[in-house]
Amino acid sequence: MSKDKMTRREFLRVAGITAAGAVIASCAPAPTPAPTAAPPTAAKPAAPAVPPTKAPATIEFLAWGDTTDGPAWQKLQPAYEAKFAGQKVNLTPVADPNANFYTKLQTMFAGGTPPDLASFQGWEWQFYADKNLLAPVDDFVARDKVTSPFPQGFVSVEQSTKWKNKTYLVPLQMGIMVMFYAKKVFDDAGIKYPTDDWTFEQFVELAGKLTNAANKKFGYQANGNWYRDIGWIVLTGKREFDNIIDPKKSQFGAAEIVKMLNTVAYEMPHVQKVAPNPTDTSGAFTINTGACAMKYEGPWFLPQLNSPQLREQKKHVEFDVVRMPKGAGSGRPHRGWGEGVCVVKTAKSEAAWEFAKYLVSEEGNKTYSETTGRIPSNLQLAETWWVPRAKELYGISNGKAFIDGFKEGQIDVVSAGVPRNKMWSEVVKPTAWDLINNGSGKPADVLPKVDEKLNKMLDDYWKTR
Amino acid sequence: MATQTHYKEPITRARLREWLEGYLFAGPFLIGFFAFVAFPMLFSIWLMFQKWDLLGEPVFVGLQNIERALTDELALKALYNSAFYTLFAVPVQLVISFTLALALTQAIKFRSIYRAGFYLPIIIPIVATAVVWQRVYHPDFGIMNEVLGIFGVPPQKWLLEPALAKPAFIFMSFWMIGRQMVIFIAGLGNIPVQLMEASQIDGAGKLRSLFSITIPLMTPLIFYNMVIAIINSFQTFVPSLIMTDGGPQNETLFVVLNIYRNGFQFFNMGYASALAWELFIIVVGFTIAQFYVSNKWVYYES
Repeated sequence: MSKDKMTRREFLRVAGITAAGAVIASCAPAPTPAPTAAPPTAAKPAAPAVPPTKAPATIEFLAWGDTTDGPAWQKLQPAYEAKFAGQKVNLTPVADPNANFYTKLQTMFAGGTPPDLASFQGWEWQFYADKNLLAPVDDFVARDKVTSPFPQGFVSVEQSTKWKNKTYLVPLQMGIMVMFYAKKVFDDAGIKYPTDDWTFEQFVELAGKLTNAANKKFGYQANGNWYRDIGWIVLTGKREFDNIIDPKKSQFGAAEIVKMLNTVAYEMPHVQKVAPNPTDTSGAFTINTGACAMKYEGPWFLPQLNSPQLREQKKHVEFDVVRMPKGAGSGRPHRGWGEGVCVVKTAKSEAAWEFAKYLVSEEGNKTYSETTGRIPSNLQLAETWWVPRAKELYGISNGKAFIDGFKEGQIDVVSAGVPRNKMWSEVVKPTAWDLINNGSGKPADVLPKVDEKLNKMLDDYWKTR
Repeated sequence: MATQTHYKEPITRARLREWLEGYLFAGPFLIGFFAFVAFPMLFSIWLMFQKWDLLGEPVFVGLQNIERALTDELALKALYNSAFYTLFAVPVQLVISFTLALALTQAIKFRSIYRAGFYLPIIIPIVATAVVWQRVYHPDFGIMNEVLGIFGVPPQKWLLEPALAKPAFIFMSFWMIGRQMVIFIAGLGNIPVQLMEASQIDGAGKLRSLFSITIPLMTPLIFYNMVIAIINSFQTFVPSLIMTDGGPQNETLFVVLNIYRNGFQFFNMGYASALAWELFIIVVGFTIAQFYVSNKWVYYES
């Protein structure tokens, strides 16, 4: 054997050393680019439209990255970087956010590598603000006069964005749920479409008329869980807790709530049989397949029923929307909230705010809304641009219903002490909705038990405060 | 008795080099093991005595988490669910996989295709399997109700009725017996032919040969499959997360789902660690007990 030829043993040794080195290297933290280093500009599609006004910075953005929002970040990130030279956004989209987003975020905090900016739902960020991990944006807002995402006089905006008198959430969209209806089911039954002034009694009556058990057509597609049924609860004028922010007492068992849930969650699917099984949200008997006439949903649902792509493939459902029916409570409350991003308390809060500011600018907000179907947080933009655009994209003529509903929006419970998902998983679901959904428990029997258990949970928490 | 003299070997440069090389080869595994197994396990022992939500500083709470893990209604329910599932799923899995292995070691047509077919579910991602079975059990258009309907059985709400949910999960677990079956097939191929021939000459029928020769010789593999199946059963997680989210009424809240919820949904890392150690001790205890009892029924030729 030639001397200069590598023996098998030598080869294995080199391979072993290389592999061990690679493992060690992969465990090391990723090098952080020097804050003053400008990113390479050669790869940019175009020269910056606006001269740089800020010091160069690279921020980490943990983004809600599902199939709806993911594509929006892919457009907004390069657009921002192209517009503001020296500003770079490292995007980390979480692909299955409902399961993983907050786990990823919390783990990043624990590991000492929090993002500089993070997506947040309107009722989740308060837990982090309470622990002093988020940066209030009031000074930034005042300094830069960013008022459009914070329209005055909207309780849902106020409650979704403020915590202990400081503003933390920068809303990118109006979260609001209204009634969707499939036109064909109405047409086939020879029934007129509902209008914004309809009542709850008319809704129930319509659901019955639109049901054709023999053809497996249903008047209504029930939601099957507490969060979604909040839209019905608010119609009663009562809420599930004494305070919607930091509650001390649960009141699921209030007569008004019991009566409402008895109708929409129990009798309609199990007694009147005008709705399919409430747990079947992705099966054959849904509004998406044209088997259900009405469903209560949000703007993210629009592209699922009708879009230029679906029309091209002839897979669309002709539909429209209408406000939730008038309930027994005063006014026309809807389930509504703000949703967007929060600036994390890091050394780059200022740079993170700059990106957040771009996201809520007319250009950013339009791109976000156009890509996701969601309603921009800028009220004027929503009314003058989104409503006609929604008609064009999704074929709805009553997009205004979303905006009007949002004006009377009520947020979900915000509980920094006892998380909402804990209430749901440990009490509300097993004690009430599991039984309601399989038809073995009536709201009148199970909801008082929810109160009993939730009150114990809340009492235990408040004792420690 | 002969005495042995131990000579202390001198540590030469060559020997040192050999050690170094050995550790370098084992390096990637050792780093991975210490970083991702040993350290987290040791850290979780410390965590058991803390209250920690990943965001603030851990706070020492003494035995509070352990006490809660041993008394909490939900934790006990989860343990019961996992034990119930294991008790009924594992024996039936072993019987089915062994029977299939026996059938597929016979000279039958398309044997390889059958073997591949029964093994196929193992290579399908568990998430996809869970979604498929969710459809199978659908109360309105699931294939399970369709098939049972042929025999006059009325449609059942498999995943919605508390009494049916666990049996539905147990039945679903039979889908995943391919690995056990392959191990049994390998074992059956190693049974000495002369033993079978001798038993036939002695007049033993097929059943007699099965119970007196095949099964006793297969006991080491039955034991191995049983130990692995019990460990896997106690670790059932994905199907309950996807198909039922622990419902209905916590009937499919298995131990690992409860740990996951407390750790990564409610961020009670200390309590989740206590639950994880509780599970670890139970599984190790079961395994040790099985090894102890195995002396009485497992046949080792040596």
